[in-house]
Amino acid sequence: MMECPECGAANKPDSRFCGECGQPLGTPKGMTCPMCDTSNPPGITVCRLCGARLIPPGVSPSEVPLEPLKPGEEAATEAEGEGVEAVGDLAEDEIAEGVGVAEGPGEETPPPWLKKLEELAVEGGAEPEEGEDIERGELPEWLEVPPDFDEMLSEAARAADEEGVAPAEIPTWLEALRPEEEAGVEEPAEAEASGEVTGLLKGISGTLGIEPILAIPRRAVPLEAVSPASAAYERAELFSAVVREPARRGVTLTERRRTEKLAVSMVRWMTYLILAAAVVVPILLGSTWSERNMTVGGSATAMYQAIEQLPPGAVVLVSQDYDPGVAGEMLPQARAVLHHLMERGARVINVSLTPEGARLSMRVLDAVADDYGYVEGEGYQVLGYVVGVEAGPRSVVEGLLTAGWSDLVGDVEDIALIVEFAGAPEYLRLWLEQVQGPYGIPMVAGVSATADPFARPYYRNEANRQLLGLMTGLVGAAEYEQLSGESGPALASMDSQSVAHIVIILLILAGNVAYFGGRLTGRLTR
Amino acid sequence: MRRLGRAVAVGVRRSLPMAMAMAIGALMLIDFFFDERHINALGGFFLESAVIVVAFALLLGLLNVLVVHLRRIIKREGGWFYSIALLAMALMVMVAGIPGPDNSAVVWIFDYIQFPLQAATFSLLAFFVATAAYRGLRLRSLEAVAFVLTAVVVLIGQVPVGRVLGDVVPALKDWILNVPSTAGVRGIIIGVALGTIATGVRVLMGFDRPYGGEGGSTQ
Repeated sequence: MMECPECGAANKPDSRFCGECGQPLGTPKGMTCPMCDTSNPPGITVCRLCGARLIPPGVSPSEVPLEPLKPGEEAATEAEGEGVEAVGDLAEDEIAEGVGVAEGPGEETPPPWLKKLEELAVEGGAEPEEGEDIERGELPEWLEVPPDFDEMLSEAARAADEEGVAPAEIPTWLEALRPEEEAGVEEPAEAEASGEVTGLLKGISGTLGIEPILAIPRRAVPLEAVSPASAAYERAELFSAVVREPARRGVTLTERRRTEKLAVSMVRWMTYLILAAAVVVPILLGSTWSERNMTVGGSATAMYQAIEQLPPGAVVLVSQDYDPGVAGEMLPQARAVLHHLMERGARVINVSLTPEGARLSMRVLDAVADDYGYVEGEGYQVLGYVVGVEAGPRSVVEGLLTAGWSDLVGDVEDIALIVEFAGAPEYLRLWLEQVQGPYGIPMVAGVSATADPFARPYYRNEANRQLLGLMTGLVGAAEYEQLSGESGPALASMDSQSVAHIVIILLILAGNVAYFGGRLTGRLTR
Repeated sequence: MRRLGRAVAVGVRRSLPMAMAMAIGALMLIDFFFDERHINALGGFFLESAVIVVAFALLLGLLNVLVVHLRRIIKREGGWFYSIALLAMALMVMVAGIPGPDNSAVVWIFDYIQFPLQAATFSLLAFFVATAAYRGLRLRSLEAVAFVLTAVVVLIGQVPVGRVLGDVVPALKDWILNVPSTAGVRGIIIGVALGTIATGVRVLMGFDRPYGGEGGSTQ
């Protein structure tokens, strides 16, 4: 098990993140950054957080002992002698890090790069004593700054001033990296050499001063003469003329914009008024044209036939799952079907997967039951609201079959038909998946117009008739009323719906006429 | 010792919900496919439990809404006066509903406030459709032409006036609804079903843990 460094929780050995607190887990072979203490995965050479180098340059990651070496782990240093050429480039902090990595009382064979360092230090006259143990956090003697270091530097600087210091030899590979001087760009004059006044370089002259270099801008390269194409020149002239043209009066622009806004607003309100008139006027006139000319589609006929074939006294489970938003089309559907069911003498068990549906369905059920002299508890029963999740429909059937929710049902065969009124496709899917499929109870559905495309595949399933009939929207309710000969609110609304549909088609045409007219006018103007 | 206890607590906290979910999920699956009296009874028990848990979740949701809006009022956050209205209405309906959901006050609130408001809000859709028909359905491309033609055919074929004009348009409307539309929706339904199966298997195998507050994958 691996323990999280943050919270101490136990994690699986291969876990990359702590299951308790989510912190990344370092592997046993990872390396902690010496600069920022970030835990880094093995195999990378720079810290993933701060970018600091994790191993000295010139040493391949495989050579770096990731943990203090234990006796018997000398095999890790087999690559002795490889990649030590660049050790001379080590910076002071990297040397210190190298010491830290190789520390440990049991350490006997230092890595090759550290060996090379020690050799260099010996050549420099800072030979460590044999067998001396280096304590954690302490620099070895050969790395310590001598107390009279400043004086030594001052003397060296003085000697350099007097004798002249030979320029350092630059390796060829570094020389190759020097950027080539750009033609036409003159480097700023080097700042006047000034000696360092503080730090380890105190007294050394010739160091680079940063500020003067930053302050002096480079000289611009004189551009070659450009000969633009004539077309580009004309466009530039036009652009220049437009830019130089005095601004038009803002009042004119504002007035035009205001007029455009007013026109758009007028069009919108005209559209609203036309549609409202299309809906209201046929109702006010009491038009019955659709009642006389209504034709019925196949899916509504199939639903009517499914109910028509029920034996008298059959138990029908009716679920009314919708809210007030779609009640305009769902209530006429429920009314038409309940009329037909009670006319056939069916016994109805009413339930709803929405709280609003429970209340809305009561309006219709009570009204139709009064018409046919049904008594609650005998001819029909109301189960109320059941939560509309996957468990809801199934719990209704289980409650009817096993928990004795109703005296009308004792076995699954007692339920002759399920009639689902779905304002949204989810409710239909719940009943189909949780009840119709597993229990094999015949089912028909009335759905809102927006849910129709999602209900149709179940109705069109020829191999397994999941829905015996389908009724869609207000038109479906009107078709059902027409079939049952019971004129109701759906048939009365059909004239309004017909006119509203025609108005919308005319609006589409008008919009396109305006669109193409505007384009034609613009083309002629140009 | 303390660390051991902590490790055990973490292990129990992670493993117990996963074990319960896997066991009950497998049980419900067996209950769905096989007709065995004892398993069916156990499945029925868990089904009832789920309904009760969801009912309590609704109550928790209500309490959460009340707490959030109470906090907004106390801190005088933007629109806090609407929160006062919400709290007042919620309390009013709750008090009115104490005698039962069939209380006349609750019925009145539903019939004369909630029902007209929700129905009116949804009815605005017709006006938005009308303005969109004028401003949006432009024949700018071949796809737009196909879209507009389909809309016109369905609009005419759906209502009695279109059916009186002839048999061609209603037949074309039925074909659009029964063939291309149904084919597209079937694809969506099958895709959703496959995704649901994959999600169910992942939950049953413990790869996904949408419970216990951990979530995510162990991989």
